[in-house]
Amino acid sequence: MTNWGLIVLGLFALEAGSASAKPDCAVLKSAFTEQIVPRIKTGVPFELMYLGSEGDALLCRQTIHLTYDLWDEKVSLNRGATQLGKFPLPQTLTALCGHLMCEPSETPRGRYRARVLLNPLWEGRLARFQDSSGSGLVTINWRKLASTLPSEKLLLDVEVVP
Amino acid sequence: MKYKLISLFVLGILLLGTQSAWAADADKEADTLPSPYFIDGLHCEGLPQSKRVVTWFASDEEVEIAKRVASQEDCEATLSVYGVSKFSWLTPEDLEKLSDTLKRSHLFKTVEVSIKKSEIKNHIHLFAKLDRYPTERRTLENSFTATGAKNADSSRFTNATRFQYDNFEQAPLGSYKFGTYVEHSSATGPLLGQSPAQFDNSQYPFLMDFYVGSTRHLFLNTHLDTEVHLIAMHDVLSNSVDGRGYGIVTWRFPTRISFLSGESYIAPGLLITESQLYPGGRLGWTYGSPEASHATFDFTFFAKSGGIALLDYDLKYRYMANTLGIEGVFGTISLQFRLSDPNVAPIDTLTPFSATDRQTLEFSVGKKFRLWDSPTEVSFRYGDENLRGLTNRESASTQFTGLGMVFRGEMWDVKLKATYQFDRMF
Repeated sequence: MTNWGLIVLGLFALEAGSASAKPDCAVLKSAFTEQIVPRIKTGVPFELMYLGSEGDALLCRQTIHLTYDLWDEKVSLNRGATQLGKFPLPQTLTALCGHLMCEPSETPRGRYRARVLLNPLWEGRLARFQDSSGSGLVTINWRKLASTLPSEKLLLDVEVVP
Repeated sequence: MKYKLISLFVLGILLLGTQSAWAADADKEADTLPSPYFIDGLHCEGLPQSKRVVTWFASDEEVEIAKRVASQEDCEATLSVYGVSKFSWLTPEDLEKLSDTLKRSHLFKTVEVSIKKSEIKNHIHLFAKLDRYPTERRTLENSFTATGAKNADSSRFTNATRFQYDNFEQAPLGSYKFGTYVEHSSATGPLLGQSPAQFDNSQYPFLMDFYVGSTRHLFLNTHLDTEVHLIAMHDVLSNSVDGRGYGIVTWRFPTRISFLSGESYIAPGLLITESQLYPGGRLGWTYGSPEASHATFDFTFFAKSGGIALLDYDLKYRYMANTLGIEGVFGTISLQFRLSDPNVAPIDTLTPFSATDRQTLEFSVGKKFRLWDSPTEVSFRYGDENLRGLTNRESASTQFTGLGMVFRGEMWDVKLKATYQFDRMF
């Protein structure tokens, strides 16, 4: 084995040994199959938000917008105006986990609550639906709403121990 | 022959090239279309049966066809309220907005919007599966106002009860309501600064208002509301009954600008012996999203066209917000100016003063929670009211505080409010 091969193996070992603060993608599988896939197939675009929180403190959040093309049968994942990629339905779960789940930089109590919300009521979404820039809207206080952000449905609510 | 074959081959290649160029152009066109979807058909499920179908002297088959046609027309009219119509373009963003707006319209328990491919690329059929909330609502509201005063006779306790029935069966295309409002005051003497004669002319310890109203959807996001009020006031001391009536017409546009106009007449005395016309106008403006916050601006102006001048000028600005789980009116600034002849019964029975102006600054907050498995709201209001230009006083200031509670069910609302006005100085 060459030196390069050893270095790569060593890096893999380090990666396996370090604790990831992201939950395993498998926790999203049942919500994906039962809730997200039927939703994608309706052809109506929607938004998913991942929230990592500890009590009232918001540790991280990530939003993904999903659109489905009925003709090429591919799911488009977008964040804001940026398209993250187009994926066939079977590959969407992996892509979704990678782009949706965020990793808190620190978890003071060593564990945190991870939630996935369907169509959350936040100012970005409201502003998108307004014709204007939504300047009349009150900015949401994320600290206060970390645990009570209203949404259409709560798809996932798990405790993560990194 | 050889040359013929070569020319045919070249022609074939040229044709293939042209075809592929056309195809590329078509794809390019499809990519740059202003909207990716063209609606070939709209389909609804769960809307109420149309009442416009006439079943007299018609066969079962004809009735069935007429019902299906009316249902389809209702479906298309309902979705047009939300900006979607057949044979028009629709962006995915519009589609998402439609789904979201329907869900937050407070008319449907569940909303499932979906699209299906049509025969041609980018052409779709749109399906809306709707499950309506109960289409009737009964509201019972009771409010108490205790007014303290330096003069014991001026202290009073006023109770107001309102019952309203709303029917939304045809909503959002139309709805109707009717209601009554009964108010009773324990006032036995004139307010401080008023003569007994003025009290006779201005106090109505018993008031009853009967009103009916309807809403009609006219075209895209525009509604016409009409309301007609008939009011009877009974003065116990002089045993006289006065009557009043007025109508309000409101237009609601997509930007929620509304215009109201109405007129009223007063017929003082036990018998209706005189009527006076009050042409008037109201202007309302609402901005923003009700889910987050909005500000309203109301302007009311009434002027009497009879021989006696009366000016009623009401300017109200409210800033409302309902984020953070708390909703309410964060600041109401109300300026009300009223100029009337003291010998004429004023319109507002609770503020029987003449030649006055009133300024109100109010804050109220509310919290929603679930009690006995029904949504409940508690609200607290606090404010300050300034009156100026009273008969024998330059100005008076009154602080008020109030507590309200609303119990809501799917088909009913019960509201209880209590307001205490500290030491009203008149």
